[in-house]
Formats: sequence, structure tokens, C-alpha cells
Amino acid sequence: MSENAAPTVHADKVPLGEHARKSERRESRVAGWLSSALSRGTAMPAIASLVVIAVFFQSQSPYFLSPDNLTNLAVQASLVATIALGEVVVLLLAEIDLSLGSVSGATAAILGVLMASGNMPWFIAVPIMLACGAAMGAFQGWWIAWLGIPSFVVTLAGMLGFLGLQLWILGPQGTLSIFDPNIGALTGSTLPAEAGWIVAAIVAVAVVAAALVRGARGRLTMKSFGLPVVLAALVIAGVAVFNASRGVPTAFLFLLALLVLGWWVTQHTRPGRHLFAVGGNPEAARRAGVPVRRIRFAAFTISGTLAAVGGLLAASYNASAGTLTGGGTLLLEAIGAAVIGGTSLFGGRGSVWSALFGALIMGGVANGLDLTNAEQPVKYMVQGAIVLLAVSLDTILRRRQSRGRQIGGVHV
Amino acid sequence: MTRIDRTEVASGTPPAGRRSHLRAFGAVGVAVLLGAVVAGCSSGATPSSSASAPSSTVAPSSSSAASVAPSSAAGSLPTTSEASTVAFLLPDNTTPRWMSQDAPSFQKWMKQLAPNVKVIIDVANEDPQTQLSQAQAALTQGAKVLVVTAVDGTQAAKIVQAAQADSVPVVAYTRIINNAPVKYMTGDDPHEIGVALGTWMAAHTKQGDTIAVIAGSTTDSFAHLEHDGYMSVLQPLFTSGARKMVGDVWTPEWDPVKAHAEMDAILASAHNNVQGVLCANDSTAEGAIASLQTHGLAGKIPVTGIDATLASDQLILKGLQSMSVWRSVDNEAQYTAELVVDLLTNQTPPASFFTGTVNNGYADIPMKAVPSTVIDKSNMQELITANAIDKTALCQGIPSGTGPC
Repeated sequence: MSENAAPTVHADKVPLGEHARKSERRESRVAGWLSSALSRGTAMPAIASLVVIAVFFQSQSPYFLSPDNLTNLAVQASLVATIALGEVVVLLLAEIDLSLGSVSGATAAILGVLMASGNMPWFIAVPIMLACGAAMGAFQGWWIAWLGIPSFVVTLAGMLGFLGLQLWILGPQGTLSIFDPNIGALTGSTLPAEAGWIVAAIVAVAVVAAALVRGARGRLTMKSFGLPVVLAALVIAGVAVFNASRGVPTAFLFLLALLVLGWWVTQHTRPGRHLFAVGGNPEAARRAGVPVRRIRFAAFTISGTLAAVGGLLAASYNASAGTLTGGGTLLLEAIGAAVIGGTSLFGGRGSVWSALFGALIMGGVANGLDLTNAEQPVKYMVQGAIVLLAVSLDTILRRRQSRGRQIGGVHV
Repeated sequence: MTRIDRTEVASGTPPAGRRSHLRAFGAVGVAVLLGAVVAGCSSGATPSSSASAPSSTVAPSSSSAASVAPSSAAGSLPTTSEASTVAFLLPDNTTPRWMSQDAPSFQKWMKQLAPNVKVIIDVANEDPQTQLSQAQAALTQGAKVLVVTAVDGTQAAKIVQAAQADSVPVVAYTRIINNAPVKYMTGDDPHEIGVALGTWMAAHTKQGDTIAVIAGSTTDSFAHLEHDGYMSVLQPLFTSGARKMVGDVWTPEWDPVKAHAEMDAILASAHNNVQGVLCANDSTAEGAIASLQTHGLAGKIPVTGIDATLASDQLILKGLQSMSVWRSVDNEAQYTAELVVDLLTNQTPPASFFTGTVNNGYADIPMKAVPSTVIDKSNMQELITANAIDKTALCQGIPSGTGPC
């Protein structure tokens, strides 16, 4: 299982077919990621699902693809995607974190108390809440990595305990308003149109230049050059859409920055490679000298920190921290987003981008159903059907690809 | 009082207590993990004083509601001489009001009206099974009256049956218990609250205005009765074209994040052409207001809510929310304590004590509804006077001179 799973995310480190490896080595990192992601289907099924959802809901409501609505959707998805990103990190290890919703709620409560009752400025309160999230993650990571308690159990306990902490911190009033405009700006503000274009220009030039530099060194293929152009075009189109409404949402830009950082760490650093190695086959990784315990510990610390970032976004989104913050279906949406986006529940396969695509799918469906004024029972049924269809599409496309590459066998 | 048949309305929807969040079990895990977690966190970074001190300053606000003058009760209330026991069964720990307001108020009134009576308080963590076990334990301990806020209005019929076997009467508190011989009911009248919301919104919008409707949780029977209430006022206006409606979206678990997204969608489809937002409670209002803020509409159009929560009271003082509907928990606890004392002393309250009846599918249950008050900037002082909110917490970050601050 793992032998087949690992190459799908990490072709340049694990032997694939000989010809595939040669061609991929020559590509730039960006182009390499894009082409590998697209051709190997990490992101493709999710993108296909997104297109289907967009076409379907646009046919049901003329507002679905309107710039205003897409801007709203980008902000809404940022919230779930941040938590989902934390979930991806632990899913890659074949672990799970059930505490992320509670950690985000508890850290939001800490932020609320520090700022609303303690009158602390945001630049002190925010680092404290993030550190608390990291500490909660690290605490759980210690039980998992050094005591060997299954992550499902530890984080289930964490889910309960941190919810208790959240309720205890909030006290009898339940909800604390956070009126600080700096916190509100995180999800409430957008870039001015000019700034949006400047960002788009920088990204587009950087992506294409990177491809050109790489291409000049090796053989300039359609694959290595075409995809960065597509990416650059997408960025420019995205900014154009956002600028047609209120501008590029700060929260979405923040999320993209987090994702690029996450992508770089998981794909181009030693700890990132270790993450996949441990998730793919812990025993093999251990024999190869990977510090398995430290990797597990680090992964849960990171997921806890990202949950705190999610708590910050949630507190910003509703200008408050309450008993419902981080609750409801948030955790299931985040896990769902990670899996729908193409990250395996069984470790070793996935990508940080699945958090974004999955969150857009989940958020897009909920938003589309809101726009069509569907009845709540219908909404639940449609959401259930779409989760099932999206994951099935992912599985079927992946199986077909692995057959085509003759590396079939057990599918993860 | 006009009253609709509650069971008929509620029967089409799952009972209130079926909200499926595993998180509700949180309280169980708290005892186990709290110490470790707090230690872990404060050793991480939080100055423990800053994390815990403010919450403890908030805590006494509602529990120290001791200085309310005893108002005239239903009838004569002789204090019981013999020591007996009553049990107050609450549904969950996640809703702040139960433990912070209802329980202490009820204890206070019982102490005043019947000092010898022992009051058992149990919290069921949103599990109907747990609540039944707690009821049985209370009966074993010799409880003579059960006051029950049902986790699940239908499954709680078993609690009433168990009590009936011991000849113990049950008073339904805030939530109706269906198909069972409940003795009395106290609580809100969701339909009437809905009518108040609808009437207020109709009065604060003009001919041709567009009103967005953000309803409550579809699994909560309260939300449906309330929805019928405001729609009974607004639907004729929508039909005649005097007002236009957008939305009418249900909000799972009254979640403000969901309400925010719903409001976003409404504004996108209405091109921001909305002149009023009817929100079914304060937490949905909170989400809707956050959305209105990003669209530059907050404070410019009327937004309703109910519950008069601290967060919403602050939004009202900031001019972002227009009103909220408040029902005095202390009044409800007082009426309930009066009924309990009557039951212990084998007295029957006069018919005039009750505001109406509720049909729970078994019989017309005598009901004492708590009057509701529309709260806005002008009369928020009432909340402070009634000890419903703490002035210091309310005025945090609010310019002095605004409302009661």
C-alpha cells in the first residue's frame, strides 16, 4: 500500500517509471509540482469537482459565480481551509486530530479574554493565543509520540478537554465581543485594487521566470512551460474577479501564503520528506534513521498552531469568541475538506493544496445551497451526496491513472 | 392569549435535543483534562493571571443576583415545614444560561419560599439517557417534585412516567415535554416572541423595503414556533407586496459562522438591496452583523435578535444591532419555585396565575409564560437593574454616555 502510495506525492524522491523520473527532474519546482499534481491526480479530481459544482450552481442561481459571491466564498473557505491544513499535516502521518475544532475554540476564547476583558493590544494577545495553540498541540503530540497512545484517543480526549477549557474561560456570559479593528481586518478587509494587481504581477512574473530559468537549463517542454503560464493566468484572473467586487480578501491572501509555506516545507525540506516517509511506512522510516517521534510531535504542534490560526480567523469573522466558536460541524468539514481535496486518510499521500480545494468544494456547496434557498433537509442530503461523489471521483480517477502507469495494485 | 398547538408544529421536526455534537460531552472530559491542559498552556505562554482573572470577574455577575425584591406571587405561599427534596434537571453545560442564571435563581427562590427544601441540580450533557438516569436517581433520593428542562422533548416522556410511578409531579421548565402527564409548564412563548420580532420589523421598515429573514436551527422546535410567530406578521406584508422577502434561511445550531455565510449569500443575491434583517436570535444576529460590516451596511439597517446576550447588548450599544428580546430568567425561576412550593404543600394555584395552556399531545398543560421585553439602547439599564448582565462587562470598550454606560 505504502510503496504505491508514496510515489504519487513524491516522485522525485522515490523511483517511479524510469522515463517519468527523468522528465520530472528537469522541471522547475513549481512546474514540477503542478504537472505532477495534475498528471498524478492530487488536485485534478478536486478541480473537476469544483468545475462541476460551479456549473451546477450557476445554472441554479445567477449569483453563484458573481464576483461578490466568489469573494464571500474565498473568505468563508479560508476559515475551514486553515483548520484543514492542520489536519492534512497529521493525515500525511496516517494520524488524525479530532481536537482542532476545540483548540481553535479554546484559543479564540483566550484571545477574547485577553482582548475584551484584559484590554491587551492585539500584537501581544495574538502571539499568546498562537503559542497556546502550539502548546495544546505539543501536549497531545507528546502523548502520541512518546507514550504511543493512538492519536484518535488522545485527540478525542483533547477535543473534550479543550472544549471544557473554552467554556471555562468564557465563563457564564458565553460570548465575548472582540471589537478591535485590527482583528476584524483579518477577515473583513480587502486589498486595494492596485495592491491586488501588484501582487498578481509579482506572482505571475515569479512563476513564469522560475519556469524559464529552469527551462533554459534543460529541455524546454510544453509541460514545464505551459503550466506556469496557466497558473499565472489563474492568478491574474483571480485578482480580476476579486477586484470586480471588493478586492482580494486579506484572509484569502493570508491562507495562500500559509499554503505556499506549507507546500515548501512538505515538498522541499528534510522534515517535509520525513513526514511522507513516516506516513508511508513508519517502520521503514525508522530504519532509515528518520526521527519518527520528533516528526509526530512536530506535526501535532503544527496542527495545534494552525487550529489557533483558525480560531483567530473565526474570532475575526464574527468579531467575537463564543461557546459555538470552533464547534458545530467545523471539525468534520475540515477533515472532509482534506480528504475530498485528495489527502489520504491512511497516510503518506496528499498535498497541502487539498485543504484549499476541499474547503472550496465544501464551502461552495454550502454557499450554492444558501443561494438557491434550499430547505435544510435538502441541504444536508445534497451535502452528503456531494461528499460521497467527490471522494468517489477522486478514487476512480486515481485508480485509472495508476493502472495507466502500471503501478496499480492496492489503492489507497 | 392566542396560542397554537405546539405539538402539531413541533411534530414535523426532530426534537430540540437531538443536535448531534459530540462536543457536548465536553464536560465529562473537563475534569480529566482541565488541570493538565491549563498547566500545559500556561507553561507554554499564557500568563495564567490574565487568562483566568477576567473570567472570574465575569463569573459573579449573574450568580450574585440576590437583591431582587420578592414580587407578588400567584397566591398565598405558606412555607413548608417538613424537609423535602426537589430536583432541577437541566439539559447541558454548553448553553451558559442554565448554570449561570437558571440554577442559581431557582435555588435563591426556593430558599426564600421554602428554606427547608433541599434542591438537587443535575446537568445532563445533552444526553436524554443521562437525564433519565438523573431523574431516577433524584426519585431514589426522595425528590417530591421534578423540574425538567428536557434534553429531548419526546424522550423525556419516560422521565414523567418514572415520576408518575412514584406519584411525583413534573414541571416542564422552558421546554415542553410531549405526550406525557406534565403537571405545569413555565417558560417562554416562542410564538409570542416571534410575533414581537415581526411586529418590530414591520414597524421599522417602509413600504417596498426588502427584509432578509435568518431563521434559527431547524432541529429546534423553538425556532419553528418563533418562525410561525414572525411570519404570521410578515407573510401578509410579503404577499401584498408591502415588503419583499429575501432569504428565509435556517441556521444549523444557531451557529453565527453559518449565519454570516447565509447573510453573505443573501447580500450577493440581493445586490446589497436589503433594508432590514430579521434574525431569530442574538447569535445569528452576531453572524449577520459581521457580514453586514464587510458590506458596509452594519448600523445602517435594522437587525433583530432575541436573548439579550452580553455580546448582543454591546452590539446594540455600538449601534450595530437594533434590538433584542429579553425574558427574565429570574421571573421564570420565581414562577417555577412558586409552583413547586404549591405542589409540595398540595395547593392548587388560581387559574389567573397561568397565562394559558400548552397542548403537549396528552392534555392542555397549564402554562405560565414569562413576559418578554424589547431591549434597545434606551432601556438597557433594565438588564443591569435586574442583574441579568454585569455593568462592568457590558461597558467594556463602550464609550461612556452610551446607553447605561
